[in-house]
Amino acid sequence: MRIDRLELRRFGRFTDVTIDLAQRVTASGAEGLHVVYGPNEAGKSTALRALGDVLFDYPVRSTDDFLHEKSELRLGATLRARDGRVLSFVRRKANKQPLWDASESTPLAGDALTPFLHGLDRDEFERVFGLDHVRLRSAADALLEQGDGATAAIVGSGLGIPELRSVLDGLRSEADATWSPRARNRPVNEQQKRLAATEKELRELAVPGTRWQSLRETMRDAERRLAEARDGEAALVARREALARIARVRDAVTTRRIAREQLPSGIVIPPLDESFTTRRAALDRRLAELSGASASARLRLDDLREPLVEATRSGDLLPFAREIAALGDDDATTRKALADLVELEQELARRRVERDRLAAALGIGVDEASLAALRASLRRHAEDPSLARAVKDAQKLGDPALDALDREQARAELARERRTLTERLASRSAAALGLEAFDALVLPDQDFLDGLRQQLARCDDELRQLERRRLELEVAETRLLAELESIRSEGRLPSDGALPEARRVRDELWHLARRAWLHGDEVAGSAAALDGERALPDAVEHAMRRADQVVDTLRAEAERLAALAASTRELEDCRHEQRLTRERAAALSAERKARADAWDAAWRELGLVPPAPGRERELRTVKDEVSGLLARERALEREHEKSRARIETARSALLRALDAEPSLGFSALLELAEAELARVQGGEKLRAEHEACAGLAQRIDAIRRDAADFAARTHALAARVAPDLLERRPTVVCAELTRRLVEQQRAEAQRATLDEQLKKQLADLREFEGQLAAATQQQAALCREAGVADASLLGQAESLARAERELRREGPPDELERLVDGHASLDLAAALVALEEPLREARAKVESCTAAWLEGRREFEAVDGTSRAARKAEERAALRAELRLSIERYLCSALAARLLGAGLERYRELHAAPVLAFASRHLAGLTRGRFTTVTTDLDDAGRAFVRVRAAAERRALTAEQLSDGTRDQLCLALVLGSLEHRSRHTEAMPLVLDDVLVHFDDERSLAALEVLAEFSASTQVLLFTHHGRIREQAAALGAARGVFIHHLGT
Amino acid sequence: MSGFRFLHAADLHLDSPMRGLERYDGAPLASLAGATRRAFENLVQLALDERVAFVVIAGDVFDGDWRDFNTGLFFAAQLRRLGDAGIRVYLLAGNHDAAGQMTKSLELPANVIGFPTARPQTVVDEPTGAVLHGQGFATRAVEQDLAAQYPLARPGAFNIAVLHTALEGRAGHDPYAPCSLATLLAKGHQYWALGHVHAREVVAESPWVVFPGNLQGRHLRETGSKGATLVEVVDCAVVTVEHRACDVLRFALATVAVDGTRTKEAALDRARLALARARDDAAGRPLVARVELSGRCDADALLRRDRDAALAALRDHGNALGEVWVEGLRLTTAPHSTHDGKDLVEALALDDPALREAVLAELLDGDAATLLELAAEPGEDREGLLRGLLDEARDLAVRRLLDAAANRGRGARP
Repeated sequence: MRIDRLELRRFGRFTDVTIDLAQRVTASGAEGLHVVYGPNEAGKSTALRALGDVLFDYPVRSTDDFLHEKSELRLGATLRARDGRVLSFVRRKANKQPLWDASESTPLAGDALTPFLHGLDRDEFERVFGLDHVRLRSAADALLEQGDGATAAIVGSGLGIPELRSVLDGLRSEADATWSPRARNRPVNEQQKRLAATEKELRELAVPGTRWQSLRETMRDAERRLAEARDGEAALVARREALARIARVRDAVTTRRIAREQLPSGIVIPPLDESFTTRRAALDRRLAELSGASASARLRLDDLREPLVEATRSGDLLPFAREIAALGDDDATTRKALADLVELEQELARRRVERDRLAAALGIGVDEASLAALRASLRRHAEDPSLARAVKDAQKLGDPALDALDREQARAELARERRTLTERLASRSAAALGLEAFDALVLPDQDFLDGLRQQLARCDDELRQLERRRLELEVAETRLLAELESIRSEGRLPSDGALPEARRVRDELWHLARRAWLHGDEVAGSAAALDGERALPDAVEHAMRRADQVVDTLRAEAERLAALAASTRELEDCRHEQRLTRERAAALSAERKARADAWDAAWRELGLVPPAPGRERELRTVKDEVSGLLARERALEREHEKSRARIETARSALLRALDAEPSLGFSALLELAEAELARVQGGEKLRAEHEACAGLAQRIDAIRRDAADFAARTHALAARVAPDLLERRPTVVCAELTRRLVEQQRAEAQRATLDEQLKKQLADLREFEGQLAAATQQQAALCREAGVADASLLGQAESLARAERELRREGPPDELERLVDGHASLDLAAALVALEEPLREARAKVESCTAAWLEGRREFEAVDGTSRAARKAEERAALRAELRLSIERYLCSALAARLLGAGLERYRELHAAPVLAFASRHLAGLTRGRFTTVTTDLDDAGRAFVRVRAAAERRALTAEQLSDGTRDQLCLALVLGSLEHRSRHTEAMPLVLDDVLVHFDDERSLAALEVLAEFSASTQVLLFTHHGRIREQAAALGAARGVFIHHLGT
Repeated sequence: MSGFRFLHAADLHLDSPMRGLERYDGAPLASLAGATRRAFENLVQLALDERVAFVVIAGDVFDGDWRDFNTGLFFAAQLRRLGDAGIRVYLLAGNHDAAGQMTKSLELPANVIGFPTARPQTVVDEPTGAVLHGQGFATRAVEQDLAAQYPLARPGAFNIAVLHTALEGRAGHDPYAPCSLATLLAKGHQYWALGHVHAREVVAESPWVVFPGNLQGRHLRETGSKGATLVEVVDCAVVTVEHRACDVLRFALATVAVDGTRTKEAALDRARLALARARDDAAGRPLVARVELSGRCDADALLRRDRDAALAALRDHGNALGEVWVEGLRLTTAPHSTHDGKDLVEALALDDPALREAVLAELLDGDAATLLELAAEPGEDREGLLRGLLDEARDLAVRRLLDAAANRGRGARP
């Protein structure tokens, strides 16, 4: 597909601009390298966007609608497919029916472009066919990364090699995540481990038939061995038992024999049961205990009788116990009262001194008459509190002279402030204005002032912006005028008839040449008429070139005129905006003046000088300070008045209380009242002291009377119960009587206790003696039971009976005696010890045989038909199923990865070689033969990468080893190579390059243009550039080499 | 002779585990445990309930390489239950029994009469007068025609010939003791009690030639009802031959055609219905089912992409149905879409035989070969398994490439 024409009807800054790309090399049919030249701001980027938008629709948020409304955007194009189909269409920005025919009269089907685009979407178009320098690098980097230059997507899928590799890597990762030979935690590895463990458990659980038979045999053998061991043990146990019996009876035989010898001959001891011994022992213990207890009781009786006699000797004070106790209480009270008496007498003396001092101060005596007269003279003020209250209120007022001084100072301070404020106000008021008048003014509303100030500020800002814009527009106008002049001066329009004339001459000469060549006609005359300077073939060629030149000139002129029209429109726009700017500035100035006048008027009508906007708050501050000053002055005067009234009130109260001379001043009155008040208070204190002295004298007399009474009662009692104490002081007598009484009471209590103990001991003694008599009778009964006359033989009788009883438990006593006698020489202990070891061995053997038999039986019985092993086998089967599934997953992923990898490798082999061959040719052209070969190699990871080889060297360089410029050349070569390869399989699409030669020097850019011109033989190439040098180089190559120049924005 | 009944069973394969079942949360694990034992207990109970005169077991009581003697003791204990009820057991060794040590070591109760392995033997069941002929397997692989040496029927008696054989051959079974039906018919016996083939088959009815099938299915190739054949004989003639189910767990293959379904859920709904039907067919037994979806449908790609989720959904449904173990989900569906990756397959030569062979050879050269051995069942065709996996791998690769292309398409949209 090629683009014959691109129309920017209404798009971005363009209106009705057309880029005609229909030129191609007539002779070869090459698609041509179209160099679209435009300086900066000429709209080159816009044209590039237009190319994408016209083919693939506008983006939802187009940025090219700043001049034309979105709905008015229009782009047009004429496309030509390889099969000859041509489509001219216009694209609107619309959801419905965006495509129309060129005249915009008929809508086109939504898929009208499909035959031309072959399923290409915008992304792929821009990625593969629309390359700027950055994208060229990235496209080439992708190819370098692929290492094989096979840019062609896998047929129909749109997948590139990197995406295939990504799929491949994904499959490999999946496989690796499932199993790895040396991994431990992958599912398959883990399941293998679990399966091995389960199989081990299964082997341990499963019991083969041979094993079962073996277990049965083992158990039976153990059974036999156990029986033999038990027999051996039983024989040894029997031998040991016989010896032990002899040992057990030997002592009893000896005892029996000795007892029989000790008892009188002829006595027959009856069999005594085992309780006899117990009973006899208990009786013996009882007899001993009772004898001891009786002796002890007698001793204790003797001990009690002596102190009892001592305790009952005297008790003469006991009947007077209550009187002695009462005297004791009175003694304590009397001693305390006498101790207080000294203090009371001191207090009385001290108070009498004070009373005398107060009386002297008042100038009176301390007799009752003087005191009564004093009370009568002070009664009025003592009973009426008005004097005390008047004095207290007057004292609160303080010193009136000091108050007056403070007020004068405050007045002076306020006067200073008034002067300062008056001066500050003078500079702000139009006429002289007093503080009170200023305070009465109502200043303009602050919101109103704020509004005015903001409006003024806005006007000022806008005026500044307009001024800036005005200057910019002046500069733009100057520039546009210069451009217009330049465009106008370039014009060299051929005449209207020049083209038809040139064509006529060309056609006629061609006709003459055909006649001459085909028919051999003589045409020299006719030819000379048309071109007298040249021979016919040269004339034909010259005429054709001349016609082409006229066409080219006309086309260039048309473009120039278009540029002229554009600049003119731009100039008109500029001037229109200048007009608008001026009008707006005038309007704003008027508005500003009106606002300023309103501001001034608001202040002047109050008689104030208008402050600058923003300074009005200072005036408001002065007004607040004036108001404060006036308020403080008024407050000071009010306070002065109040003070005077309070003094007058106090003076009146003092006059009333004293009935004094009305002409007396406040201070003299206060002094008089304070003296009168002091006299009243002194009289009151004197009265109180006098009464206290009388009370104290009465208390002292009472104490002395009570002490005399106590001494008399003590003496009377001592005369009756303790005459030896009559000469002693009452307190001593009382204490001694109390001590003697306590002693007699303690002796009485001790006597009663001893008497009680004596009675109890007598009762115990009688009890013990009775029990002793009963025990003696029981002992006599035991003698009768044992068949002995005397209790001293009870022991021998009992030994004999016990020995026979023991022997009878082992056998007939006489037989046992013979058995013992028969083994008299045998060392029983040694014999028994000698048996221990064989017996231990026999028992150990039984135990081990029993254990072996139990173990054998347990193992044999454990094989009971259980399904434990079967269950484990089921578990193993489940694990195998799980493992199989995992292995299948692994193998599936691994096989898929290998299959895809192998396919990819084959694909790469099939496609890489041609691409590299193409790229090598292009690189040789770009580097003027310096680098001639592009190859691939494999890195350690098995991935291919690109190398280039210089013509003069055997060494191949990687892309990283190349200079930036050469790397750019390699990038371009790879991209061209891959596109060339692609064009062999699918229809070529135009290659659009945006200043990709930007980093090339002149030589490299010329080489690149030549390579691109060559490449354009099969693929249309659009090279956008803003470099004049590249345009010149392209122009030098010329249309004959398939290079066409298009100017944008001129 | 008055009438009597006997039970004909074969291929007990006691304690042989269920194979190929992937476990998952909610799977009815308990139903699997000891299934073959419980099935045999059912057989014994059936014999007791039906008061049969004797039970004929036509080989393969045990599983060939199973060594645990507990299995034998369990078997003997169950036979004692029959002996206690006066029921005789005529036991023939099959190829699996011959291979193991179990039979040699086991002491069977007195009510069990075993056939020799060296030559055919004829035994008369005294209480019924029935005459039984049989020869067991001496070795695992008996390749001669044992039936040819069987004696002719004893006249006037009801003759039962017991034989472990694959007849002329049966798919999935080793062709042991091969013989023709004609050979059997020529012997004149009224009933041929065969064993070895796990699918129940009545080969002939006059006289009766019967494979009762195995007692309990153990994997998804052993589907349907499993059990024994109850035979009633009156006056030396077979009156009825009935199959009686003894299995405790059933296997089913639920093949579901999902042609025309538009969504994944619609396809799964059909699978759910099929599961419910299979559950009903199992007559109250726990069911192990594999679901296979086939046909062309729009949901093909989704089903394949979300295969695990689809399987989980079906397993949930199995749990909801109650004791339905959904063993797996197999997809043989195809897409409606024309873009099936054919161009990718061609571009990358994924179907190229030489490429496939090279990939297989490369894989088998590496460690993965041992994995294949681990995965394969004994006797399973390794090469067939691997080629099947290669086909799946090819589909997986194509699917991933199509997914990548689809993602790229989505990413390219503005």
